Amino acid sequence: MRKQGIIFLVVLAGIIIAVQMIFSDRWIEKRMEKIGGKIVGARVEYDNVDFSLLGLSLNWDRLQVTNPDDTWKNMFETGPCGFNIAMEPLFKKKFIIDRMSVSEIRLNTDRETDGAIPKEPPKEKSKLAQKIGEKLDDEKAAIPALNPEDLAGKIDIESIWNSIELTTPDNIENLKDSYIAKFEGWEDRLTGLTIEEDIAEARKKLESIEITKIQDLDDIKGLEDIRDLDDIKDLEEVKNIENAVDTVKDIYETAKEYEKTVKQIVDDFEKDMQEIGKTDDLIKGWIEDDFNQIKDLLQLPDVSRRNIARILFGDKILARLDRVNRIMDKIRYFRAKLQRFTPKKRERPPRFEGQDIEFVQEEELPVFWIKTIEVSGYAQDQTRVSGALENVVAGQKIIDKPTTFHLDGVRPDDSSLRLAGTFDYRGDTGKELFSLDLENLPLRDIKLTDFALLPNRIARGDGAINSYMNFTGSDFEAGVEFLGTGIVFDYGEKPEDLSGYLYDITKSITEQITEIQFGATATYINDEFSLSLYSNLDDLIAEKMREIIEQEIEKAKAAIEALVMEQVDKYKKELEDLIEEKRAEIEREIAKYEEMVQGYLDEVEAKKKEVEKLLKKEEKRIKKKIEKELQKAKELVEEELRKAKEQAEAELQKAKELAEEELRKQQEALEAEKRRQEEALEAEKQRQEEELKKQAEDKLKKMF
Amino acid sequence: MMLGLVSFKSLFVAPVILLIIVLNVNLSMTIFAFILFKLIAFLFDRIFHSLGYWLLVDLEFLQEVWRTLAGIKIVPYTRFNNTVVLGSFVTSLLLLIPVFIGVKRFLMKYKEKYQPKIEKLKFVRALKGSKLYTIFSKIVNLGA
Repeated sequence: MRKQGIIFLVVLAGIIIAVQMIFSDRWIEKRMEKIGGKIVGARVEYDNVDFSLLGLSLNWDRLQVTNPDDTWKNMFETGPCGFNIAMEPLFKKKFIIDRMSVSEIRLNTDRETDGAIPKEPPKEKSKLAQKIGEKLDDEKAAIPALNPEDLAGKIDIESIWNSIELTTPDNIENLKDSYIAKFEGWEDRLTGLTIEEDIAEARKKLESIEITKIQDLDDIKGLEDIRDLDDIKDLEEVKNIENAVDTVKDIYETAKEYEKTVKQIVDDFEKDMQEIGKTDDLIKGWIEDDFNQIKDLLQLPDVSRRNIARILFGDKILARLDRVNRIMDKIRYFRAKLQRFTPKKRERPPRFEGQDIEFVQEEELPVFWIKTIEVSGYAQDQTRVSGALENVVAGQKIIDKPTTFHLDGVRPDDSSLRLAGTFDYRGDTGKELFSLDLENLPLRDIKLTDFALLPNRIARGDGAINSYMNFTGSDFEAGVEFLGTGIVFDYGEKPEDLSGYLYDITKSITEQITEIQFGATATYINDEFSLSLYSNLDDLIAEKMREIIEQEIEKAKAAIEALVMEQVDKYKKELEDLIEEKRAEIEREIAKYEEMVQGYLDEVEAKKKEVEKLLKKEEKRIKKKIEKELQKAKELVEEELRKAKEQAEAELQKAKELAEEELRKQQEALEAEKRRQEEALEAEKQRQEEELKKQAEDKLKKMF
Repeated sequence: MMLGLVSFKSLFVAPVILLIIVLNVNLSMTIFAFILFKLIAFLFDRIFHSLGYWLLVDLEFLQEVWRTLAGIKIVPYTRFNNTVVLGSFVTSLLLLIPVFIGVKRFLMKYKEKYQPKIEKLKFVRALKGSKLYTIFSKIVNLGA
């Protein structure tokens, strides 16, 4: 035995124990504080860390984690905490903790010293967090800015009036020019008419027709003599009448044309006048356009039902989503750090390192695994919380379990909360699922929204919130449902900056509200962000807001319209006078033509009637004569026809008799032939019978 | 020899080191043997692997033994299930007595015949006179 050897071993063991007892706790504490500080970005302090090498346990009395955004506050602090490290896996460099307890956890506590540490350059948000953040910013920017107080009686008509350029006066001037051109066109059209001269010419023609010359139309000869009508003198006279009628008809048609032309002019003029009659509407339209220009300057908010929910709750929801997005980014950042502990896939050892033969299927363990962290303590508002965080692990695939947590909290006033979450990175796409449910939440003094038409203070009411948020890879969807019941608002005293009118509206809104339902869903899928919000207040508030806005608009409209009309009236008056004057002139001119054409038309019609009457009379007489002649001719034709018929019947009888005679002769010849053939047949038959008889007798003789 | 042949990643080595510290072993000889057999082991790893593989896989009657051992706590840390580790360990066990006898005989003959001649060599005398040797002697003779 070597004494020195034994002494060496004993001394070595003594040194290890002494170092562990004297220095290890402090060293570990410092290391943990340093690592924690690096992770959080502010001071992390442990009190009385106790590490036991033999028991492989680590305990501390207090842990303070400074809020990096407010270094005089702790994000949270804990009371006594501790855990044991499993020894056996430690030989395989695996850090496994079965159960860790974190007790007396408290949120947002005050610090005695500043917890700031020299800051590292701020960690850049991940690309995903940046993208989601941008989408949320866009969505926030799209929320209509609507404050009823800014609207009520505060539309600055004068500044709006100064900033616009009215188009109506110019439009009226242009219209006036176009009307002048139109009336000039009418004057040209009327002076270009030749109706007057044409009528004078036609009148001469009409007067040249002498009816008396063709009055003696008698003695038309019989039909048998009128083979050549041109030779008949009387008919020539008829022709003359017809020609006169045609001439009158032509003149009449021409007169009608004049009437048509004048009528067309009247119609066109009326049409133009109707068009001009719409001037008022046109001007009103321009005024409306000018006012719309003003409306745009008013930047009136869209008070659709959809927007009301956004106005009421959009800011808060987006702020919370942004916060969750930041928290998730941190979680993912820490998770990525934890993943660094995940062992890389074991490569097969080279040939000369040998080969491990597995005899027992050992449970594969991750390098780091806290199976359960039991948490208990107080959240804000004296809510007693307890819960557990399970499977904090580097490599979930190895244990095939996700990291989960749940926290249940109860407050002395019976309101409760349950927060649960799952971090599942086992599949190809990581999933983070969270849910937060709050029950019996007293709404007293809670500010639901900054919207001016809802009172700041709720006097009474209970609320319940159910929310979820699911992240899958780079996508997420989140939803929240809020139900407030038994709501009673506290109007308090009328705020000084709120007009009496708005205060009344506020009261009328809130008196109708006993329940508030609110829901929101937000999704970010395939780089598309969508947010939808709804509440039972949407319709009510939208209606009231519209009422306020409409009233304000009406007021502004009336004021601006008065200003516009003041400017426009003189132009309008000039235009109206011009129209009136030109219209009267042209109407007079047209009336003159109408009268002229009508007089002429009456003359022609009288002449036409006269000629037509004469023609009718003569036609009647001639027609009678012709009918008489036609009767005679008809009787002659009928006599001829009768004679021809009798002759034809006699011929037909004769032919019939001849045919019957011939038929009889042929019949007799046929019967004689038939008889001859029958006789021949009978003779043959007898001959055959005799022959058969003879043969039969011969056969009988031979037999006997 | 065992230190040189068997991998340091195996728990087999720990009791050997403990024995070296506790027992009156010649440390200079230990170091010399460790270096020598480490080089030999490097050359014979293939053979150790074959032997270990034969023992661990081919000999079916031993399977139950290995399984039992694998179930006992701490034993797996010897890495006996590695072909090279087991091969080298078994080889070192097998060679333990023959090498002991062989080395003992060799040393006796060396002391009788070769040591006086070697110690007279200039190089050896120079080495013994050096500071390095003095320190080395002190360490080696620590337990003497």
